[in-house]
Amino acid sequence: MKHLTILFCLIFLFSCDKRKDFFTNQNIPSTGYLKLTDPLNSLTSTINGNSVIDTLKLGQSFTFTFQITDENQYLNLKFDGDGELKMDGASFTQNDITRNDKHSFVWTSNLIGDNNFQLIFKDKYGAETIYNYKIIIFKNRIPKISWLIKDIGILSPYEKEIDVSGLDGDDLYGGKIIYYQYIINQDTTLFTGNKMKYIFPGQGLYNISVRAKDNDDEWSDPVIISNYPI
Amino acid sequence: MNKIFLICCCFFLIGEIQAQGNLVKGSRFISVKYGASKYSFPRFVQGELGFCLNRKFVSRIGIGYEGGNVDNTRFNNVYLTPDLIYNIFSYHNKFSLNFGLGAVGGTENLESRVEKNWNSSLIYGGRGIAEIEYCISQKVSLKGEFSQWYVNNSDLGNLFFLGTIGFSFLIN
Repeated sequence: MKHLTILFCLIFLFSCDKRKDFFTNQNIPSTGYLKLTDPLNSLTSTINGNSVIDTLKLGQSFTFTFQITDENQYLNLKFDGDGELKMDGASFTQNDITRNDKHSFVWTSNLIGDNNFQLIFKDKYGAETIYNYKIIIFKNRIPKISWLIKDIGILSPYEKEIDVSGLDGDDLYGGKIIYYQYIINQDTTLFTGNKMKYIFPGQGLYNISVRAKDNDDEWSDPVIISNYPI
Repeated sequence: MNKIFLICCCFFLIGEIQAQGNLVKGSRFISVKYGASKYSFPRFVQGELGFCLNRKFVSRIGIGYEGGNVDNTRFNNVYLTPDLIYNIFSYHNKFSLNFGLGAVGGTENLESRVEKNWNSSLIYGGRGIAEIEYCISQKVSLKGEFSQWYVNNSDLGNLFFLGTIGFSFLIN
């Protein structure tokens, strides 16, 4: 009896059972199709596989549509991370969705800096497809300008034109330069145009400084040339 | 837990009159068995008709049904199992140890537990058998059996191991 017990224990221990979950094994994760709906986002986003990186000005929103395909009819979608998400106009965190339906999304955040969030699609077999978003929010970008002096000489031989070029740092996000400050020695002029004519008192060396102010009420760094010869 | 249960099943013995030592050529018997596999805990029911070739060899033909779940896959399989069993030794005509080989043919029917998906296939293969018999009375015996199965064309897996316990009834 003892030998039989040992024999059967050995048979049992050396047995082999390799059954597998057929339907789970042949299940494949879902595939999503992302489309950025804001023309601005199309210019600034980088899409790399399932990852999206973009920059956004504080107060603006990131909009896109998403369509998911899968052999299963229903999927679970979960929003996880920074900011708030609306799906088809309603606040969204997690819900079941139907395959092939197209949904519109609007994401917003008040957090300046890196904002990371994920859209996680999970089918009934537990297979997940994750889409990662990194949105870098900035408050404002100051203008960047340069200038040069052109000779005019119509009203006076010392009549010049200061010609300023440059854009607001967040011009792509709707930023604008609203006016310029021209400082010639102690003479300060605020002018909305980027070309200003000026009659210098006479021949000599002048300290000339120009800076620009944007619609977010921030000044650019001044561009100064000391002892400019006229 | 499954292993302990199966070991206890196979050694919960009473006896069998056809402990091969009392078998004569031409004896016939029917068996009914119930069991489970090692990996999952499905239902396995088998009925067999046996025929004694001589004091050492018994041939039998059986029909078995196995049902169970492997995670998200539910399966219901039907097997046809012709076997040839050899008696290793008998003890006082009360107790016998038998080994055998058998063929397997049948259908494998799979169903998804989360979606409306099905899959069926014909399977075929073989199995190795280790069996203990113990007499209860002149006509009835108790059998415990381990069998290692190998099947081809299976989506569940080629290898599985079954343990069964059942009764055998001498017909003549």
